[in-house]
Amino acid sequence: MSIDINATPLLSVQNLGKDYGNLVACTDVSFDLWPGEVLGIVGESGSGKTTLLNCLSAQLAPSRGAVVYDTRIDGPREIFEMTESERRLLMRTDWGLVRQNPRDGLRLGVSAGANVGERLMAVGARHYGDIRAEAANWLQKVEIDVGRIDNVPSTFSGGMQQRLQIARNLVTEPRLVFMDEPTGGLDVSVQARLLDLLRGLVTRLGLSAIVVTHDLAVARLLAHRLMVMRQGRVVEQGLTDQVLDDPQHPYTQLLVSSILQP
Amino acid sequence: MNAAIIPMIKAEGIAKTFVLHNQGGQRIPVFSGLDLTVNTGECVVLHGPSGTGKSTLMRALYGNYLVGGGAILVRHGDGWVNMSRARPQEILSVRKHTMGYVSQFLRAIPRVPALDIVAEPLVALGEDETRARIRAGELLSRLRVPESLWTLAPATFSGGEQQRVNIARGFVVDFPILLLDEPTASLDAKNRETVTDMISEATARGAAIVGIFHDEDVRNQVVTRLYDIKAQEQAA
Amino acid sequence: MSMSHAQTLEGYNFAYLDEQTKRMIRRAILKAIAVPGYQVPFGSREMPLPYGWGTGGIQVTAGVIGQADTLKVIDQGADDTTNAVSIRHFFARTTGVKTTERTEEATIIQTRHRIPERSLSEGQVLVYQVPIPEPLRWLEPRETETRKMHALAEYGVMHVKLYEDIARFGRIATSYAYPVMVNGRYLMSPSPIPKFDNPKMDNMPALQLFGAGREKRIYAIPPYTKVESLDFEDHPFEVQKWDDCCALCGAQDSYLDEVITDDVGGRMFVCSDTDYCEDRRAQGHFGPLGQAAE
Repeated sequence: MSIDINATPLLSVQNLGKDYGNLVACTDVSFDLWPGEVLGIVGESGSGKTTLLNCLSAQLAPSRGAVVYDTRIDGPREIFEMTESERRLLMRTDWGLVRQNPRDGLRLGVSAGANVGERLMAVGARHYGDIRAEAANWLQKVEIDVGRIDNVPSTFSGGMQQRLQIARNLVTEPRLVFMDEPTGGLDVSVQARLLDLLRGLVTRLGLSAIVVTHDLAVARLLAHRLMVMRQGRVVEQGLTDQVLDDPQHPYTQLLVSSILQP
Repeated sequence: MNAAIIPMIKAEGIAKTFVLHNQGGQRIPVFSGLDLTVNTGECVVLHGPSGTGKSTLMRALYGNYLVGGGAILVRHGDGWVNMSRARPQEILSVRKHTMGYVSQFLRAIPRVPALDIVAEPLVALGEDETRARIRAGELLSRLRVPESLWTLAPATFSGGEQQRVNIARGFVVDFPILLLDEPTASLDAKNRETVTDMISEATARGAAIVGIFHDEDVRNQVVTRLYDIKAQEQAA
Repeated sequence: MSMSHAQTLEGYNFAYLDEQTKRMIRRAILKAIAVPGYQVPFGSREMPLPYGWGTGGIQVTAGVIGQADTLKVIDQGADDTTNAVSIRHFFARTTGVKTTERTEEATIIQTRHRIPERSLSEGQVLVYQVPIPEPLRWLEPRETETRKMHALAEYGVMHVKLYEDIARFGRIATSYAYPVMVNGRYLMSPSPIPKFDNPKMDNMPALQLFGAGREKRIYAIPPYTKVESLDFEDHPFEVQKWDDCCALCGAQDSYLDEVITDDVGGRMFVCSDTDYCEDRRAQGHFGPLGQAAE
């Protein structure tokens, strides 16, 4: 029996860097991400992890380096050599972006159902009944009471808003989801619920994800691989349990030893 | 009919030293120059006093610890994977298909019920969820975990109950290779016996097993070969 | 009524605007015609009336009107409302051009918020007064973003609004300024005409020009262009219907205004398009109150 391991990475990042004038926000970042893998990017505030995520998810143009994504139709394409139109289409269909503050990733004045259905409508869905049914389906998957489909998100709790943001992103079955501190600002029990949901969705849907977090427990739970960042550079990367249980770099050792044990 | 004896693990010349950078760069050497081969149908017991690196060696075999120098070759499908050099993707593939690991501690994931924790490795291999849960239930029953606990998350279980969930999870897939780190540590006599039986059954079906057993009785029943780390080091 | 050019206001150029301005407006109009439904920015001038009173429409009319034209001006379908009368007089005094109330006699029709009931023909120009040209404005307040959305044809959000209507009211509640897709490419606001008039825009033989003075945009629909109102497959576009007919001419196919006749709840419905109503009565069609009104 031979066990296949994918030949082409889903995302290939080469020597990525972003400067703001003289300030090096991140630099020399290279890695490959395969389908079904979750990569965690950890580090403290100011480590450059959010800047890196913004460059990877095409929110920000890097100062140097390349981000190559294996598109469904055209094969591997460099993101910043695409036209803006192609990039925006990619971000609406194949990619998802879950922002730390769900209010930045939702339309607050529009119902939950419309929030989830928007991407479908954006790619041409024109049957109200079908769109609504699909939206209801996704609300169930993220454990939001379907009876709230016509409520606006400003009436939802923080945890519900975050789950709605996730549903809104996953409705077009993206292959790659970027998450920036997805559990930041949530209560511990709400966090647990969200993490469990994310784990389940990632496994069941075969998603790849890049998750930025400062919380190592979240990283351990969600990520297959970890990248530790400090002052804009990747100081260590590898299998999550290996990086956390057998850290090599001094900074990683410091980070791991600083985890509060309950 | 005798099944062919195939080497499943070939570790050659491996060494491990911990460097504690935040304690002035203190070096803690654990072992060096170790060779270890484990074949199908064997249960190799790692032997030696505390601190000689038994758990460390096991974690290295699993890819959880890095090693400095040498190679840890694991038979994966038709080929070999070097666990000390492989990409995370490959290591994860080995852990998913080929190598199971029962550690001393259960990592209880919030909210996930015991039954699903046990069933997870099967589901990851594509097994239907219902069938996976049935198989998980069989193992939990065998290990005398009451059904009333199956739908609860194990975080609040006793040490012994958690350990049995851990073991069930390690045995739910018939892995070709099994790593067992003190699997009977918190168990009573009856359950120790059950686990001993399970290990013997695995050996009989041709699994290659590496184990650490504090309990002499259990060890004597399952062992096919002892591997004394210190002795091996000196021989190198 | 018409005046010779000699009788028009002294000291003012033909149609009030200077020739360079008219040229600029015509260039914008040509661009708009070349890209149906696309909003062309133009240098909107100070006009002798405030924003919100039709300065855009007036500038477009001023840009295209010539000595040989015949102008009709309507406001909510009527020729005799204050604003329609003012604008008509304005052009009469600054151009000396012939004016009319009869739709089929006009070469240029400037309108606020209605399309005439009578079908228009080739060679006619319909000039709409537009308050907010941007159909996406309610959803996206940033001009930079709406321009991108048009450029990339990212119109999914418009259906979000329609979805919301159905979710809230059980049907699409938009009844005027109903968004349309022009030539299969640009999303356009037809100006605050009732949705009743939307079908008239589709494949119209006349040229349709739209002017927004405050927002400084001109857009156009060339003759015989496809114009589709947005809808869902299971909630198709529908026009308004009345139970009553026009009280004066008996018409059942025109847009009706509701007129309150007394202070005890009395009301009647009459055609909004005054010319259409008069024409029908002239041909002998009368509604329940028609004969008494004659």
